[in-house]
Amino acid sequence: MATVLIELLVEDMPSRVQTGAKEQFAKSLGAFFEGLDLKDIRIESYVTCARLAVMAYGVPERTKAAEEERRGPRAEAAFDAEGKPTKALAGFLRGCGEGVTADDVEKRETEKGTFVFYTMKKPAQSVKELLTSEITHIIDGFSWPKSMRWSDAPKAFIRPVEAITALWDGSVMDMEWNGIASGRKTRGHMFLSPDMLKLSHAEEYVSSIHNAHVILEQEDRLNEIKSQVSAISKNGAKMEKGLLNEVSGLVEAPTAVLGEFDESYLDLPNELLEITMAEHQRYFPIYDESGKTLLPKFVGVSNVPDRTGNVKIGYEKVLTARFNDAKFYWDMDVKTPLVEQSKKLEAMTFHKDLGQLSDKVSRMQKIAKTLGKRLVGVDSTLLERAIYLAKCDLVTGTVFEFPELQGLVGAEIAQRQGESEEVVEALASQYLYDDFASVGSVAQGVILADRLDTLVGFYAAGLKPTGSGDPFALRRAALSIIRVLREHQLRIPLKSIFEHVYDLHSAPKVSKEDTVKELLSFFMNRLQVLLKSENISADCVDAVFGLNIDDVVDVAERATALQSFLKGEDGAALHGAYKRAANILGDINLPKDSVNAELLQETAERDLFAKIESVGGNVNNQLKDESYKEAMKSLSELRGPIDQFFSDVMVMVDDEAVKQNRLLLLSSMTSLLGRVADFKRVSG
Amino acid sequence: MTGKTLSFQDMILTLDTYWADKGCVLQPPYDMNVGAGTFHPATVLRALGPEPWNAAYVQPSRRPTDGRYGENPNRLQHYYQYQVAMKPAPKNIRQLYLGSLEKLGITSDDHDLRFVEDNWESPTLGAWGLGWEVWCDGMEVSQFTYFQQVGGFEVKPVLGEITYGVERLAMYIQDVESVYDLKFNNEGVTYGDIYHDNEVQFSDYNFNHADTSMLFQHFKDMEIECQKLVAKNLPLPAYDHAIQASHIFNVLDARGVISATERAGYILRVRDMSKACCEGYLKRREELGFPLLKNQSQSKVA
Repeated sequence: MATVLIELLVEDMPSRVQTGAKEQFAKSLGAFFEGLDLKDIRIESYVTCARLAVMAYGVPERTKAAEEERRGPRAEAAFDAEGKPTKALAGFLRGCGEGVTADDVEKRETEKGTFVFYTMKKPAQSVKELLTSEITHIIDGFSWPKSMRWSDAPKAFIRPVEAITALWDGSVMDMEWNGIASGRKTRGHMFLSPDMLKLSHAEEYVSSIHNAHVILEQEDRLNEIKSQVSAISKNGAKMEKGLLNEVSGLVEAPTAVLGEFDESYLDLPNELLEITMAEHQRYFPIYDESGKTLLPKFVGVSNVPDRTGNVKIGYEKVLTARFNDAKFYWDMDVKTPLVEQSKKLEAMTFHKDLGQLSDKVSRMQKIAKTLGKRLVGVDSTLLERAIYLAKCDLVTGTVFEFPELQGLVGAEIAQRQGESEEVVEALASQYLYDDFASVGSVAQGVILADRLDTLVGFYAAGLKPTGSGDPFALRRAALSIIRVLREHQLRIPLKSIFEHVYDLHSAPKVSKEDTVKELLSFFMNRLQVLLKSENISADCVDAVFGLNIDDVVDVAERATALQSFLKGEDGAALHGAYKRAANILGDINLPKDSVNAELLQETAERDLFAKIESVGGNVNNQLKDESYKEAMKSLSELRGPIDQFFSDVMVMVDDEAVKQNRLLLLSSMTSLLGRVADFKRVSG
Repeated sequence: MTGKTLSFQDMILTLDTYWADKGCVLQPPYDMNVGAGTFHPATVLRALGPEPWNAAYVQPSRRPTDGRYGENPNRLQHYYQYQVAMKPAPKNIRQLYLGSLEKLGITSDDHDLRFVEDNWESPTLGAWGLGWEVWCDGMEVSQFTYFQQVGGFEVKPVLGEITYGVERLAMYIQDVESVYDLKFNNEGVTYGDIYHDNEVQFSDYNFNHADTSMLFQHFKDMEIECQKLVAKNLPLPAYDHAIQASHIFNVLDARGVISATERAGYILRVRDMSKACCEGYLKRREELGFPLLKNQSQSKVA
């Protein structure tokens, strides 16, 4: 049994590709062993910013010898009348390998006749040899989001490969990839242990690399960073998982460095400070015991120990320069009344087909007025104010520098300039895409007005999403509208609001009818996707939508009731009855008559008629009250009489009047069912 | 920082000496308004084709929108990039780069040097590459790129490009808070003495006074001239016009007269010009028999 090491020394790989690459390395090697039918091999793989390695323990020296039987032609086709081999046999023998002759085959009887057989012997092979030639395929097999070439080498990889170490126990697996010959030399930490290390055995790898100042295991690195950062920040550091993972992919020998910045910068919005520290500098921000107040401190993670204090000074300096840049804009923006910025919206294009940002704002105002009372409990003066201010921060220097802070910057300025709490909240939450539960009514109004304008505008301009692309994030916009409506039970008929918003756009390229139709089906698709996560099937949504209901809350509630109804025994049976009745009714043109009670002959049809009458009244009232579950329950009372009807009554009788009366009865049953859903659209 | 720190000009001299020693041609800066050292034909055009090439130079660069009237300690509309271009990129190019930092006084064992992912793309040059920003104690001091494509053509062999932000690096080395306080030489002349008023004047020009109708017309003229010259198999003069068009576009952008949508259109036009020049250059070099191929054996860097 041998131990195998393959290591690629790579120039700094991006953090985000590391985990995938590590897994892929282990998987490729595992698949190789599996293909040779070799079992019980333990595989470990490792990744740092500078290396990708895989090790296999307990690798057998040789594959198992095996025999494989091959069936050739029929005996009578293999040898001619004189017993000499035919061309057919010769062809078979060639396929069996070099030097195989007619003497090597045997004839054997099978159920299908007598055939010629050849038993191929696969001798045991050297795993080391097989693996040595497999390594290039394993390296070629990595898939990267974007790979590159370097120097004059022909092949691409995520970043240039400096060296390949390939060891089978103590010996090198000699191979070459992309102009790099394998060897036994690797390197530890680029700066702390810059000289090449010579490994005399694969099993030395992990300890040698550790001794050369590299924490090899991802998990260990992560934990080391966590504990150092916690300790140095006295547990105050906010360690987002994404940042932790990223940092652990940037350093091989982490050293946490505590830095400080001038308190005066704490005047900048928290989000701005955090983004600068975490996203731009990969530092961890530090909070006080309450967890709410940011302290003028941070922790950076260095790849070398800070022996001279240079690193700390450097970290602080860069951060100060960045804060200083931001403060330059922030101080100016805070001093300028937000309302004053609104003039500049006239100069900023929203989209070339949809006018300037100022045009968008004035459309939003009109949409908000139309939404009006449907926004439950909204103060329309505050809503108007919020929309007026909503986009003003887009022309500030701070948002120019930190586009990801749009909305938050406006909110922070608005608060300092004494705007009301609802307005501030609306500005801050206008770019949310989920988690609307705690969003107030003014904010709901801004979000709806903004996104309705965007959606209708882009559809009217012929810029709807395609299968491959959604550059204006319209799917997300529609989904967020649906979420706001549902979470706050806002009853807004989509069709009429779409028509209203359409009329606000000055130069639409798509007709009103098509725009509204496309948008309605787009919304229903989004609703289907959303409800799928609540285990409501798409056809239930479709069946409700088929009733021309365009109020998202209503559609969702009806679809939910329908789904649970159809899952029950009665519901499934009624669905079956509906289909049966619809089959019988086919394309028959019935007169607009109602059922004639006097023509009802059998008990079963009289019972069904009576039930439809009584249930119908109840269902109407329940639907009016939006008691959809109760309505479904009422409908299930029809099940017994319908089953009885189908078992006792013949519809297509010779007597035309009786036949037509029975068809009318069935039709009144399907139309009653049709009050809750378009059953034609229900599958199954 | 210990001992005598390097002045701004000493840094450039140090880099010149270092890279000349590594086999680079010290080709003086290009005599036009460019946005970055990459625009110098010594990088962008030499990246094309099979010929080996090693060059180093300091390149004055202009980014009109970055002007701050001399009031921001870190931002300038006119600044220096030190540029190294090596093709094929030597296998040890990163070690060579670290060696250059050491000459400037930045050693890897007491500074946190980091190669942080940064994928470079220049829409106006139709170029992209993969590489890193190099961080020294958290501050970006250089960009390091392996060119993959220029003017829409594969860069083969791959050119390695190193770009030092000279002011940034100097502020770090001299430990000053404002670019204007940098010692330009050791005789008391500061960066501010030389460039402060330059920043004030050019910020005012770029943001307020550049004649936009004249510049729009110039842009068109450059575009026509560029295409004409490409057709006449004169890719080098044609490229000069593409560079000028690019700079004119940058000034118009700073004047705030180009809307977001129009922007994309202008970038596309500059890219078309650069592409045509790159294609013409490649053709021309091929006609000449790729003369620098003769240097292949000598171009190995120690």
